[in-house]
Amino acid sequence: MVNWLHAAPATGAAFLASIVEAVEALTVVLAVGSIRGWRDTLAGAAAAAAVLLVICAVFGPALTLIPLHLVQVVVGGLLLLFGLRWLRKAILRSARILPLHDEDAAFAKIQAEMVPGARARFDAVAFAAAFKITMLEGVEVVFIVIAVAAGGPGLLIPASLGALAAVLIVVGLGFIVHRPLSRVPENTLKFIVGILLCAFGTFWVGEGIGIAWPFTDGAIFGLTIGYGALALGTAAAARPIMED
Amino acid sequence: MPRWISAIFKELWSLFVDDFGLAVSAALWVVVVWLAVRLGAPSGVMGPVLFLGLATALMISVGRRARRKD
Repeated sequence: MVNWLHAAPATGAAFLASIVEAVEALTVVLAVGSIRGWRDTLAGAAAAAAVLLVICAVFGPALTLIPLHLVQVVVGGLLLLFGLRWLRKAILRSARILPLHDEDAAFAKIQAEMVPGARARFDAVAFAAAFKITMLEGVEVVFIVIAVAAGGPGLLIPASLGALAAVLIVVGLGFIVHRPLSRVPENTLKFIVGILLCAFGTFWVGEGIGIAWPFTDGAIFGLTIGYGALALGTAAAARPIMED
Repeated sequence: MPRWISAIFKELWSLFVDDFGLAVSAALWVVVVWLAVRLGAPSGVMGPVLFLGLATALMISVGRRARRKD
């Protein structure tokens, strides 16, 4: 039986992170499909999704065979590095040191790169482009789901459901509007997700190396506040440095 | 090594490491805190200590990038 109060942070983090990744993948798939045709583009995306499902089916159960503290150190450590990289980039974007991510611009750029293909039986360019982006963003989603669920065996299903809901929502909206979801506040979401991933990563690594966190699981909330304050403060402090 | 394998490794590496200095500092700090816990440092205090070290590494990394002129 899933304790949803306990699982809510992992589900929420997986949901938000998966929205960001799914929006990025959708932009490329739409750009490729609109120029090169839909059949092989969608086949490429579907093939990558199938490979990702196999990875989940293999690595998901295998994780339960490894001692929990080892999973927490290794997966938590990777999640911490992943989260720090993500949060650093989000802070730099918020401070206008790096340009903000623009889905419309990304869509236009990929469309410009995709020369319309001749009518062939199989469009390898469209298939490969859609396969690659779905695989790249999908691997990140799979990693995030596995990593935020590293705290306990009961967290894998709620985190997976969070990610699945995000992907279904984004794909559904993409199917309806047929253009990039540039209205999704992607940069803000990345900022929030970076904070959450750092909080989870720090917590799991700490548990794995034997730290007894104050307030046990409640420490994740404290870490989220801490990283949030740090990120906002650092972004505000970095802006004047950039303007000098 | 075939190009496609090195491309996969590059993608995997870039998934976790953007600023090498930040990644190394974070990993080293985790090791320092782990050693402190093993040597008997009060475990309840080491959580905030772990956070503060990681937060400092992140701030330094952002500050360094902000001062770069490109």
